[in-house]
Amino acid sequence: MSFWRRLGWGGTGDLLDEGIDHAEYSRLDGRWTDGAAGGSGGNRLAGLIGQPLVRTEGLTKRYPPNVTALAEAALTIDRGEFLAIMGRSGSGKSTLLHLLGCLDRPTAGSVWLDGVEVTRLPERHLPPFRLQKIGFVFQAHNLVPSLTALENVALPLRYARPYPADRFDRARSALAAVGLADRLYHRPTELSGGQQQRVAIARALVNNPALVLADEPTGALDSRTAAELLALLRHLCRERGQTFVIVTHDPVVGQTCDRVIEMVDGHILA
Amino acid sequence: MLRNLFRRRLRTALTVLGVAVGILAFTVMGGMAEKFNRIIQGGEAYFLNRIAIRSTGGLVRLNLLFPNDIAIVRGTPGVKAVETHIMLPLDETAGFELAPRFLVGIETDQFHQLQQWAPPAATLHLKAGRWWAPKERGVAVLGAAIARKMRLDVGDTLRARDGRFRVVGVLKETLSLPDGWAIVDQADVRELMFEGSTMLKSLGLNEFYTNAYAVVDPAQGEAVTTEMALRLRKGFLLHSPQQLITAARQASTLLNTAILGAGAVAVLVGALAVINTMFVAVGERTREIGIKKAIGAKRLDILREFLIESTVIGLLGGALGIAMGAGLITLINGWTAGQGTPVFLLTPRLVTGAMAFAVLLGVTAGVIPAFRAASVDPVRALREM
Repeated sequence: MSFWRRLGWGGTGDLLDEGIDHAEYSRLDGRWTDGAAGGSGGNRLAGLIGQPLVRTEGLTKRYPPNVTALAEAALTIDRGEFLAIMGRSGSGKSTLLHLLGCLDRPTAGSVWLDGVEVTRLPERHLPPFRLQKIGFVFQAHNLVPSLTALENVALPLRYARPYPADRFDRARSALAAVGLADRLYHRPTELSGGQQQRVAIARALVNNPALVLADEPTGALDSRTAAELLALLRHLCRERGQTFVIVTHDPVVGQTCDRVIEMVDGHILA
Repeated sequence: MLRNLFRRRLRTALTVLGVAVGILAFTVMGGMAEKFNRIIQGGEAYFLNRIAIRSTGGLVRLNLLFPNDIAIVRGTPGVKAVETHIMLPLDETAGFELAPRFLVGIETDQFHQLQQWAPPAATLHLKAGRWWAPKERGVAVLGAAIARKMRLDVGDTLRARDGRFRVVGVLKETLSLPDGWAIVDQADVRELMFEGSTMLKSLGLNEFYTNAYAVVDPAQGEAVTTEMALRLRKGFLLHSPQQLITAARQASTLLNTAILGAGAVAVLVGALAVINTMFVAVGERTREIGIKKAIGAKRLDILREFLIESTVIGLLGGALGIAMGAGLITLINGWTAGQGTPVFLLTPRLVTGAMAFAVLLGVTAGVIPAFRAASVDPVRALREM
């Protein structure tokens, strides 16, 4: 099921057009979406059209004794956006990313993702939620060293219940989409830095998540490879209609994005 | 996920070896205990319905039983049959042996009748040759261990204590005391003893026995023993079936405690090695765990991955340890078999037990590190670049 395609937002048809479409998903449907968006599949989509993918309200993260990493952040991200969060180190951009990715809990405030108020989900529901809705790309050392590229990409599906039988087929398509169809059985150490990051992107896409979060994805790459990688991300965003949020301190990356959010000392500027 | 084990080949190998050495010790100790247990069990079966009677001596008695003593034993109510032995150590230089070698004189004409009283576990069976004819002189039936050690077979001649016996039969292995016996007619042994002792000659004593066993109903064992003790004069040592079995059980318990102790030490040493390895692995893979959690792994998924890893270490260590133990046991048994009796017995329950120990070790040793891995905070793990 690809509602992106149904919505006319592209999708290649042969590529990853099956999301995580199992029991867990339908459970999500009824249980985690709020009343306005609830109901059966078609209604749910209808209810979500026009709604932003991500919305935060008064999002605050403090660390004891008195460090405020993020203060009262209010943010709306639309579906299909290609967005950069920029700021110096320590400005709170990674904290924001972790909160958007349901990896961390805010001290105060809420995050809605795809109609679900994730900040109110019980802890045990977060891993399956991440598995279905979010893809992550980190700065470097993203991959499990003992696994091949293909196994790394298929890894999220290993944690899905029930176990998707076609997980390696999906991983193969995802690797093809990032141009690594000929590197399936290479270990991370046998790949270049740029190739490793592309494997990480394939892994982030393998679930067909609504939101892809990237934390300094080009940070460890030289400028040319970084530009190539960015072009790939841009291309995937346009092609698949997924939403990309990229944390970076590199102005070049910022320029490529549709919208840039500046952060200073835990505050969102504009 | 098991590839993680091969990623750190040397470390995994050393840990597996640590477990293996523990299990090896457990297997070898267990093999020895199993052998002792088997000997004790054999004795237990034999003495289940028997009162053992020995003389404790006195100046003139020479620790022997005489016909009038046997008559009293036989006459005690409740005694169904009496078996007499004259037992002579086969060679006086024999050192410690699990099945000491004896020249045992029995009433060959009574043998088959008395065998009927023996419980199935204590019945003797021929492996080769034949039994003695009633009161047949100069022939011997050998226990399995004695035949092996002295390299004797049917048709060979056994030289023992100035006597020469033609071997007519070899017994099946009992894994108990009769393995060390050369069984001949009583008259032959009595003659050898008489000829060798000036004391017996000067006293003209040519009717005697060293051991007697009264066959009784096990339920009446104590009562008959008490009655028999009253009827015999002083200077006899009587063991009721219960006493003998209690003694056997005590010896058995002691051995099993010792082996369990050895097992506990093995488990402890192996477990520490596994715990250490797993903690190092968790520390080393913190980032990896963080990523796995970020992409949707639940606590349970991580917990399971690490538990499987430590269990596999236990499994490999157990298999290797048992293999090494079995090898060592076979080696030592091959060597001691030449000396008489194999020292170790590798039983299916020992192998199963050792394997279960190893797996249990792997699982329990993995629990704490696996919990630590499962509780890694992804945010913190991902910050550590």
